[in-house]
Amino acid sequence: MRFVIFDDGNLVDSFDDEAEAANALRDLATSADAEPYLLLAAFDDAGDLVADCVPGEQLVIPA
Amino acid sequence: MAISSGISEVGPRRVKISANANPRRVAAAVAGAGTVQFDEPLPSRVHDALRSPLADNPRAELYVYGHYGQPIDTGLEFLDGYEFLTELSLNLDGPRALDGLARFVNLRRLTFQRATIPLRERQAPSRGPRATEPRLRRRRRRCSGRSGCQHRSVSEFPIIVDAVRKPVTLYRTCHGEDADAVRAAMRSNYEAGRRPHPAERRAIVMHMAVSMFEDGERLQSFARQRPDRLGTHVARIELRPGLGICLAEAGSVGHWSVWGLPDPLADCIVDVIPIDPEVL
Repeated sequence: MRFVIFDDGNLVDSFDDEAEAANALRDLATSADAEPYLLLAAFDDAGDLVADCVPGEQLVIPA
Repeated sequence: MAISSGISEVGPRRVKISANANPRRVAAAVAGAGTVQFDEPLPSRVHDALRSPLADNPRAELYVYGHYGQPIDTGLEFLDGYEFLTELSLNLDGPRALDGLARFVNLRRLTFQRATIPLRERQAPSRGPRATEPRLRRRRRRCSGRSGCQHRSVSEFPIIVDAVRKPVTLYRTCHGEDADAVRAAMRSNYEAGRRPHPAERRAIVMHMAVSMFEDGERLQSFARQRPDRLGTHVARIELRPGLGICLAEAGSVGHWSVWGLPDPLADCIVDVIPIDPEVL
């Protein structure tokens, strides 16, 4: 399984570990320059999308 | 094996040039070499002696590595005059800048190692792009250890960049089918003027790449989930040689990072179709 972060449709980074990917997405989404284009997607080993995509702002809890 | 002071043969047809190389001996050593490498800043007299024989040996790869503790300028100005190169391999810590590489328009192969972010080895082979070229060549470089270079483990994924040498078909989402929309979709985040994310989380080259996919149907399935972020249409792009376009498989199976200027990339679009939101 690959967890891939996209920003405006372009790959930012990819991970084997879901928690690691979610943490990275959260960090990116909370950065000062974050724009609402972040998306985390999970792909299986054949490259098929699995599960729902996670937008970056869903992981950010407003202060 | 030392050829002369500052010049050594570190493998078959592999010549290492050091800063103390005698410029008069460089040309003879480089002639016929498959790879010429250096791991430290070279004085201008050595560069001057190296460029001409390298230009006369167009199949030779220039391999630049090491430079430990040395700042690497983002414009790669230390490679000024080497724009004739067709094969270049960079294995350097520090910034990686396609700004500097953009002038290397003759490259047929560009290899990055020691990416800032380790993109791990994939677990299954890709089916390859649906293209007139059955499968893009994927290469792993292994270090012989004889040169003293310090490659990371194979679990850290080198970004292998190939120039497009045969037509390849890939797919990319876009927010509409008009000219402005498809051209906008051919922009990397760098081209779009967006600031990079924290450098420690990624290889900066990815900031300058456009994501494309081998399988248009899979891409449609992906885009249906978030059309607001990914797009409402899918463009079929037939990348062709001669436009300076490079690509590397990265991230997940079937995903390709593509480097090219927006206009040449847009010129490669052969079809744009709307994504049917009702299809599951």
